[in-house]
Amino acid sequence: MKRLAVLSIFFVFCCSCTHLVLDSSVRFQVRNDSDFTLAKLSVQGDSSYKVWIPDTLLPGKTSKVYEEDWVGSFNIVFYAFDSASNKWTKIDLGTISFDGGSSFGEISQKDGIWHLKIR
Amino acid sequence: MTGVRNLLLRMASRIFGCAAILFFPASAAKISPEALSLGSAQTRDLQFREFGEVFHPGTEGYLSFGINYFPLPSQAELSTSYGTHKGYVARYNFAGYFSEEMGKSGWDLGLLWWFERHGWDSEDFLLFPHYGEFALIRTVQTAGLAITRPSLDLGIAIGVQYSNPEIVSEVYNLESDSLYEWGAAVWGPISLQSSFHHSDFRHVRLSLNMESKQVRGGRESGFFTYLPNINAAMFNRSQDDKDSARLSIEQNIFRQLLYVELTGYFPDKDIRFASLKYYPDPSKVVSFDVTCYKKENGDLLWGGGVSLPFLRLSYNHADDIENLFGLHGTFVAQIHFAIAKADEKFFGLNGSRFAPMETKSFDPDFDKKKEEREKRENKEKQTTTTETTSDSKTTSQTETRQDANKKPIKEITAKGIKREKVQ
Repeated sequence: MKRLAVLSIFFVFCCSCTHLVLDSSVRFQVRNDSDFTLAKLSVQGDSSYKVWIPDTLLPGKTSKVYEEDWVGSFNIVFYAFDSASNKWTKIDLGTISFDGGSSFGEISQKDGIWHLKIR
Repeated sequence: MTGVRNLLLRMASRIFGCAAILFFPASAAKISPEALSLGSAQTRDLQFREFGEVFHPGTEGYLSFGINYFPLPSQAELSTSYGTHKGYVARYNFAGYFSEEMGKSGWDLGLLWWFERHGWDSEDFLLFPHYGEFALIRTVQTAGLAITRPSLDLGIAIGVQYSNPEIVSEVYNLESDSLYEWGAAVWGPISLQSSFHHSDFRHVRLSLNMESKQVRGGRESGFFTYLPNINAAMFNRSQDDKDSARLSIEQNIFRQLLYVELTGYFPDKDIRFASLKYYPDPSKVVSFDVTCYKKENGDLLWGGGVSLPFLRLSYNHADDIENLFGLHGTFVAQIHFAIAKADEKFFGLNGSRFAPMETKSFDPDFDKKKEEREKRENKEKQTTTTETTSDSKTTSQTETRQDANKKPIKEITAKGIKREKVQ
C-alpha cells in the first residue's frame, strides 16, 4: 500500500512531462528544387485548407521558417505556376508525416511526379 | 510425430499471433472531434451515475480522484479532415461527498462536489494547457446539497451542474458555458434523478438497487444478495435532436465477488458492452475486469483492466472507451482512488461489504509519553528504596498502586492547604 502510494506520487510527477522532451509543433522550411514557381503550401481538409508556408518560391529559392501545430500525418498541397498555360495548378502531395521539431523539405518534380523529401 | 509437431507449432504461432494483436495493435487509437464534442454530455451523466451510486442514506462520505497518464503523443491521436494529429488526451477528476447529522435531529446534511477537467491538446499538461490550434479543454462540475434520514432510508438532493469549455477549436461543434439544475431522491432501493437546462428537460434516471448490501444495512449472503441492480436513464440530447436511453444491469453471480454488467444504449438495440468484474474482496476496492465492447460497425473489442487502491491499468476497457472519447487500442494508466465511508467503516465505490480493516490507534505523543513513564517509574523505584531504608515520616502521602496492566498510578494527596483572603 505504501509502495503504491509512493509509486502514484512518482506517477503524478511524470504526468505531463513529455512536452519537455518532444516538440508539439513543427518549424517547417522548404526549398523549391523544381523548375516551376511554387506558392501557398497548405494542409488540405475536406472543406477547407490551412496555409502553412505562404511564401511564393521561385525555382531554387528557400522559404522562411514557419512554426505550426502540425505534428502527425497530414494531406499537403501547394500551387505550381505552369508558364505554358499561364495558370496556377494545385498539386496534391498526399499524406506526409511530421514528427515535431525542425523539418527541412525539398520539393522536386521528375517525369511529371512531384516529391516532397523531408530531411 | 511430425503431425503432432506441426500441430504444436501451428498452435504456438496462433497464440503468439493473438498476443501480438493484443499488445501491438496494428491501428493505434484515434479520437474523433465528434466524440470529444459529446464528452460534456458523457461526463455529466457519468457524474450523475457516480453520485447515484454514492447517494444512499447512511453514507457518511465519498472521496475519489483520478489522473490519467498518457506518456506518448501517439497514444491518443486526433483524426480530423486535415489528417492525424499527434497529441494527448487529458482527464483529471475529483469527487467528494460528506454527510453529517444535524445535531441530534436524525437528519443528515450532505455536501457534494464532482469535478472533471478533460480534453485533447497537442501538449500534455497537469494544470496549464498549451491551448494548441486543435485543442478542446472543458471542465464539468456538479455541486449540491443532500438531506437524508437514515432511519427512514430516505434522502433528497438538489444542485447545479456546470459545463465550462475553456477552448473549443474550429474542428469541434460549437459549445458555450451551460448551467444545469438537477434533483435526486432515494428511498430504500429506489432512486430517481433528473436534470434540466433552464426549463428544458435533459435526463431522468431510475435506479433499482435491489441487491442486498451490508454497507446499506442489508445482508452479507443469501438469496437477496443475488438480486440485480437496474439503472435506466432517458436523455434529451440537444446535439442530435434525438432522445436516447441507457440501460445497465449489474448482477452478482458469485458471493458478491464476481459480477456481470450489461450496458446498452437505445434505440441502438444492441448491447454496447458487457463486463465481467472480479473483486477479491466485496468492498470493491480492488478489481480485475474483462470487458467486451461492441462497436457501431458490429466489431467486438475485448479488453480488461486492473484497479488497485492507487493505480488503475487497462487496455480496451469498456469504461475507458465510454468515458475517454472512444479511446481504444492503447494502454491506459491512471492514478485512481475511490473510497466511501459509512458507519465509521470504509468501502469502494458501489461496494457490497465493508473493507476488512485493521484498527490501530495512533498516538503522536507515544514516544514522549513512554519516556515520561519510564522516568517516573525509575523515580518511583528510587523513592521506594529510600522509603524502605530510611522509614521517615512525610507530610504528604504518596501511594503507588499497580493495576492489572502493571501501569503505575500515582495519587498525591496534599494536606494543610489554607485559603487566605487578600486584603
